Amino acid sequence: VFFFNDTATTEIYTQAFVGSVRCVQETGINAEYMGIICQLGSMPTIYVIKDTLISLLGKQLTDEQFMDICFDYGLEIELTDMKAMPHRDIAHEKEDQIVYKIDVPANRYDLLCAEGVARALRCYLGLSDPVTYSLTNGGKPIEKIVVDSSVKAIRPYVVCGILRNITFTPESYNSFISLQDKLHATLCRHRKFVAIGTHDLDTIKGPFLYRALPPKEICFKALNQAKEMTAEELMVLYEEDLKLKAYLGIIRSSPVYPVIYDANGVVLSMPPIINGEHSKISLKTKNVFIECTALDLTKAILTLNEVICSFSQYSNPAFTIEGVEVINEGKSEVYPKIETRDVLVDVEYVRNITGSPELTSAQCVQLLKKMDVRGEVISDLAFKAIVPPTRGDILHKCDIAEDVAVAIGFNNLKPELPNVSGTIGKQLPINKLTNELRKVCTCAKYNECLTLCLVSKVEQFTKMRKKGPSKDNKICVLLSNPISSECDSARVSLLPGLLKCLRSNIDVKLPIRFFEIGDIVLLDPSTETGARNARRLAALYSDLSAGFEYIHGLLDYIMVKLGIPCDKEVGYQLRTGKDESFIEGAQLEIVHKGVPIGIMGIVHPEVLLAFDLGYPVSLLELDIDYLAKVFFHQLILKLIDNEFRLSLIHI
Amino acid sequence: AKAANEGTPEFKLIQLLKTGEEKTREEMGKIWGSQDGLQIAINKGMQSKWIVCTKTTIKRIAEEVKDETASKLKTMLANKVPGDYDKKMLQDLKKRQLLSIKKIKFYKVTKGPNFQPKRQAEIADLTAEMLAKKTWEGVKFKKLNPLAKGKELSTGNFHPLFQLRDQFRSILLELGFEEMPTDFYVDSSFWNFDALFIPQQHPARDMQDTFFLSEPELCNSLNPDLKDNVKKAHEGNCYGSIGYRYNWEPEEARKNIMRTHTTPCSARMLLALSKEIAKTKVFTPKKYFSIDKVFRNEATDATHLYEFHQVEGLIADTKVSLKQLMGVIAEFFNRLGITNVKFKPTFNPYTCLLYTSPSPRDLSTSRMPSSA
Repeated sequence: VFFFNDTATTEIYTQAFVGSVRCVQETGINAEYMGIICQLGSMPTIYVIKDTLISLLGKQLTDEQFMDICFDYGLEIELTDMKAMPHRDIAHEKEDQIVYKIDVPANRYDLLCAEGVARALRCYLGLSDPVTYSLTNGGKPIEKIVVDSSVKAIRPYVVCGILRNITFTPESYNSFISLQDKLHATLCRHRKFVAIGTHDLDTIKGPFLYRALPPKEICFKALNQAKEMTAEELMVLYEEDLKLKAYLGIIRSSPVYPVIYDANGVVLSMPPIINGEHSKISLKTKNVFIECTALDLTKAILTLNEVICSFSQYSNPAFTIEGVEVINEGKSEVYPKIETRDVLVDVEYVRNITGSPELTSAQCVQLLKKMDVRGEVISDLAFKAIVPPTRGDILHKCDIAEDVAVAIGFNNLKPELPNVSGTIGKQLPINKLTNELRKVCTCAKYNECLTLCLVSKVEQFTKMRKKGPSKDNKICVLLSNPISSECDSARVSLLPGLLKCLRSNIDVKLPIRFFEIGDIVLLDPSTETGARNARRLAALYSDLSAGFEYIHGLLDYIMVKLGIPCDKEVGYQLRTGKDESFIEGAQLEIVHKGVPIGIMGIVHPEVLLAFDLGYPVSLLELDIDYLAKVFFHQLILKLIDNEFRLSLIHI
Repeated sequence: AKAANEGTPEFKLIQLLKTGEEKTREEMGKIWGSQDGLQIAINKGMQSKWIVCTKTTIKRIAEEVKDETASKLKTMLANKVPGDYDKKMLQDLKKRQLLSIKKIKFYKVTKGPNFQPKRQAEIADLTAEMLAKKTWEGVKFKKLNPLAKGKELSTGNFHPLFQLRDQFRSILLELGFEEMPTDFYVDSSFWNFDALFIPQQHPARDMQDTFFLSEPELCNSLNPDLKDNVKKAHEGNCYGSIGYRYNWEPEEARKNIMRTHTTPCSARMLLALSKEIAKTKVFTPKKYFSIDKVFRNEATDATHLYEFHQVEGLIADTKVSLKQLMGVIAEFFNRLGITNVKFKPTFNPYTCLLYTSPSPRDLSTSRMPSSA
């Protein structure tokens, strides 16, 4: 649940989370808005009634067995109940059915419905061979749709297909609607790239026309509406509709909106917003006309394939699809494009990837059948994979090799350690130095902190009595879409983080000693990205009195341990600093040959006030990168050396 | 003593009556002389069945009377050493105030093992002064209390997350991995996504998953060695792949972000490695690792922040397969003490054969995160 202060911000987030916003309402508390946003992770989720899945699968399995099979296939199953199913999917009075929540890999659009999962698992379990889809009528289309050039500017592509003699049940009907929702949310990127429309073919008459018109000229009775309205009126109406308002932005600013008409001027749909009431499908629909309008033709073809192939199992004859001719700029194409694609694979490649040198060409073909991919042995050295139209995720022969591995079962392959003779472990010098310094600070009784890198500008500048970034002086990295103003910039110092840490730990026994060694981010136009990391060490001391001598003592201790003498020529020097965060005069800058490498001092009371701290604080910050660069090699040697010498010296 | 010698009041009363004689209370009172003790005498007499009383009269019924109580008292007086007496009787006599019971405690005192002629306290602590002056000799030290707690120390500590990081780092170094530089939290979309074959419309590149920057907004330039190859890979019909078949935009790739994973660092190492091999014409196997911060614009909860650490590993060698990958991962967990590791296939745009360790339902036994 997110709370916003104003409609503008609410709008921004609703747009960003397009399609996932469940509801937005004014809470009335200072006109705050509440949006309930369910985030779509990179793993899409579908909900399937267990009984439906079992009947589609054609085999009884226990929950335990289902989970094991899905685990090996790559699906994640969780048991839940009807209450968890999204609103749309409830058709049943039977409330206490077991429902499976299935996490589907992000690239497997063919598994976004129960039919798809069942088909995949039937092959995996050897209950059926991979499906072959075919176009009816020898591939010759009966219906056609003409694309007018007016759509080029707004939504240039459309692809269509027909399922004949289909019989819907309540479950399959719901699944059909649900699949479109899932595809819209994933592959179609919330209807932006592709929008699916399904229509009862018996209520409309071809040939169809796909064109774009000014909103005033589009008038029809939209789905679930009582009367005809112009497109303008509909746009206003859907401002209030929680689900549809998210899609209005896709066409709103265009002078023309896309529309699909039939031969009698009946509006099928105004993509990507809404379908017409006239052609809506129902449980009784026998012939379905499916259209996908799009900005990206590849995605449109893929989307259409997923919808039409999965549900072709319900047409008669099963797995047959009727093609539709699409005429665009004089060129004619028949969709859907359900031809298989041949991928040539050398067996040696598969052997190397799976680590199974005994795999034969024939075995690979057998195994691929389990993954819903037909194949043909070409020779002992190679085979051909015949990729079906539903497996748009297969891009390269490595995907075929992967499928063979899944078919073998990852847990049936015995893990082996690689030949280690060729590599030797090695630490990065800066990390080695960091670890030594961590030990030094901990020995000095300082407690290690880990603070956030993304901080607010207010915290790292205003509260620290420093000037923030401006047009002429862009001191730090700024985020353009921060979660909140709490983290809108990257830190340029570790000190604010430590002060914040202190604020959260004020009940710790005094004296309080914190340290942190971590990276800050600096702007640097000379790097590829324009920014780079820099490692700093920072320490905080707080007690009833500021105790600067203790922080100074830590610096002395660190420098002794590092073997850096307090010497103008070969070591470090101290001089009065001018940092605004510290009390004037009560601060020292640490320099090496004139180059500032650190600062320490008593924190200014205004800073303490800003961080809501009641006890005085002394702080230290050191540039570790510099130390590493200038002193490193001698350092590591000296660290070892120093340990022997220092044991004799009383620190 | 008086009662013992003279007789108890009831006895005295009886003496005043002849057997069978009855007198009024008034008369008795007069004979008695005072009201002192008369009623008690009457009560006791009745109790001993020597007399019978009505409201007004007293009559002696007993012929012979023996003052047993007095004789008992006499015996007690005579006994110098206290003897065993019936408790009830003692209580009665006490109640009549004929005797009082005093408790006297006796102690038998003998010299114990720690007997000292002069009194000395137990010493709690040994001091430098005692050592110097040798006053510790002959001194008894207080026994330490095994149930007490020690003094709370002020100590330095390592951060718990870094303790875990150190553990992982050690394991990877032991397995022969070389640490990769990861010193850039800000990276370009090119390295973070495009070079890793993540298409430009992928949801992970959305504003709701990634932090984009307003300063510095775009990276200075795209790596010239890679730029064209990446474009070809995305657009397809190249490297044996049909690709994603869309128009790859270089401007989209230039957008700077806070890195969402440490894999761009691995990608850079691969480029450096390929250049080295091209130059020296020699291939040496490599194993790289890193553990560093990444940033994701995701929902936060009790166990998830938008900044977290990622462990990354990379093995470049001839003849490494899925088996070696699973082997290294299994060995890594083995060294952490986690032995029941199972592998599940999952998807990542830049890998084939990515897999994850135990699924959440096995978490009860393994307590491992769900992706590796």
